[in-house]
Amino acid sequence: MLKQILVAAAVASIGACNALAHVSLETKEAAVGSTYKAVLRVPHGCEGKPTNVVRVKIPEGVIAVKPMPKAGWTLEKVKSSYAKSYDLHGTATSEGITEVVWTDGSLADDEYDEFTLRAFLTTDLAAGEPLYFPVVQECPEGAAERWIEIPAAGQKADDLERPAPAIKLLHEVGGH
Amino acid sequence: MTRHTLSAWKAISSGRLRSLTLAVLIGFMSAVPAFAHASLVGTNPSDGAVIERPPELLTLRFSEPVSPLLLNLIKPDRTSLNLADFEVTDRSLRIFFPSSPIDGTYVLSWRVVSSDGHPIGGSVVFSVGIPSTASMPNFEDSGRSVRISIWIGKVVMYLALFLGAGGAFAISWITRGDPSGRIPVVMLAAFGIAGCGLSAGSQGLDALGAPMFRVLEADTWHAAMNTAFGPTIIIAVIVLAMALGSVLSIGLQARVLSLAALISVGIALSQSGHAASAEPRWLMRSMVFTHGVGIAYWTGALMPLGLVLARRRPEAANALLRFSRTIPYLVAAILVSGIVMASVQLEQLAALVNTAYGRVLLVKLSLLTALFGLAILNRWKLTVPPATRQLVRSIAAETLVVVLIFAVAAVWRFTPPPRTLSMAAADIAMVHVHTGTAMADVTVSPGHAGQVSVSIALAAGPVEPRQVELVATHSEAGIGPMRRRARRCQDQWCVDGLVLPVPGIWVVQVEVLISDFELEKLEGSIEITP
Repeated sequence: MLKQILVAAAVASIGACNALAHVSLETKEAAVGSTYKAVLRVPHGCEGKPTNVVRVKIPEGVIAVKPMPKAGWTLEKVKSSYAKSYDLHGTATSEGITEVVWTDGSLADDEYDEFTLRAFLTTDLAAGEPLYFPVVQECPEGAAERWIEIPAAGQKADDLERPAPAIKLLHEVGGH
Repeated sequence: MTRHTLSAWKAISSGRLRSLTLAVLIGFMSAVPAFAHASLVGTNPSDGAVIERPPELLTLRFSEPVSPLLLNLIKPDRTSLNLADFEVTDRSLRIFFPSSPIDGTYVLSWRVVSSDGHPIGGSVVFSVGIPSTASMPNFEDSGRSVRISIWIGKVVMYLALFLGAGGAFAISWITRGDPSGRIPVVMLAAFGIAGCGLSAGSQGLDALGAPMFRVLEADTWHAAMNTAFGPTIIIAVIVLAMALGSVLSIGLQARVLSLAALISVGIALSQSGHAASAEPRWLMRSMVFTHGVGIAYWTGALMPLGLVLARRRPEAANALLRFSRTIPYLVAAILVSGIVMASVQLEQLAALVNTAYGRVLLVKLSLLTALFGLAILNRWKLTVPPATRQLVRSIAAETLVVVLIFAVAAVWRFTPPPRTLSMAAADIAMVHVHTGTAMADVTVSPGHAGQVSVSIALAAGPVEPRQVELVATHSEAGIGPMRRRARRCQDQWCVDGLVLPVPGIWVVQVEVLISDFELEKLEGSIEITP
């Protein structure tokens, strides 16, 4: 019993590191109107199986996406049109990459890896708000871990089982 | 996880100070970003397995080392057992199975913490011999003596709450402290406390499907307190204690106590019963409350009034006046709440004659008509000018009719209201779940504990869902999330072979994967009968 209490206490006292079990982004903050380098940290596979596919959904308002190729993985770029036209340093941009997929790789359940992409955060995004990058890990036999839950009003990311990785958007630096 | 930390883990997990060190270890290892969390890889016996004889060990295998937080075994007889005898070897958790002679369905509810401090939990359901078809026998199975004692307990409780607590109120508020009626009220309250005991015992026997001789066993009482009737009994005992306290004290204290007792009669009754559990619950519960308080006021006043009149006390005329002035409002409240409850329960008029519930109501209504006849006679013929002797007789007759009504109303314990019959006939439990953007009807059949099939009818959306999962949780019984993937069956989604081992309120969550990145979670609760 004492053992259980101690473990429970240990769990309670280190609640903050729960997030380490989740897929997360290395840089937690970025200003709107800037280029953001997203380093996606994938800490494990799904239920003992290796991860073969990592999909990242690019949120609306994030444009000029450039994923970083990765040895041992095939890169796919899903392109489609945006909901509206965005300004990229004076150029109107209305379509581009909306999903990045790394496939054909193998990340064992007891291994860790990072997946990187670079993108421009348009000024249409609301500073002060979180921005979510939903991620899906696919494994053999149809297994998958979907880090796609976005907290509803009044909910915290901690309340969710599989929260989507997020960053906090900061105000534009200097302004234009 | 690095090789270094893994070997550290192994070294520590073999030591007795495992948990203490674990806390420290987790503390400083939280800086290691590559820390992974565990997931269940396999179990033995496997989930849903039917095995011939009880296993000696239950094994859970995880993808990472874990430490157990809670291991709970629910046995076929629904008793639950905390399993403290286990060993952790590397990634396996081996739990010693207590020797148990019972065949049937077991649920191992587990919760562990992995090395990154992330607690995870779930349930493994397996059966020894044959799966339990119903984990708890229903009321038809409980013996005749148990049913009779449930009925007696119920009648005694009604008498004590209405005539006892109501009488205590009448003594301090209507007959204003005249000692007449004190002795019967004290006796009723005292009997009532004993009756509550009988009620609790027999409800517990009924819940367990156990024979009468087990009435004094702790399990029986524990089961009773776990039913919806538990709070009713506890509050009823408090009500009766307050009523006793009121009768034995004087002045302001007596009045405050008896008022509290009168109000608590309504609270006690609205905690359980067919009417209080009907939807819309807030309305039905307030109706039960109103009905109960009204009846306690009216019937409770009869005995003290009759006695002050019979003894020709000086206070008699005033008491009669106070009662006559207030009673029309109370009777109106009783009638309105009664009509609302009856219409919700009956659903249609025909149910009055073609269901047992309806026939009990008809008997009650005819007794009620007689009661009203007497009440009207009292009010218009016998009070102005007071014809004391006839009035006393009439009040005595009224009291007798009231007792009969209680006896009849207690029979309702055994007759399901027509509202639930249509569902019971189809033997299913249903819930409608929805969010702002999606909705589904979840049907569990049969609607009682044991092995069930679940069908999920999703409202047609713009796209075909990629995957539908059902997560069932029974938090009261400590049965953790049981997750099952649904398969497409005709125009619905089905989950077969799910075992809901205990009755009660199950929280069901339907997770609909619309696209790779869109997940809808619909949650509702469903009542599973024994």
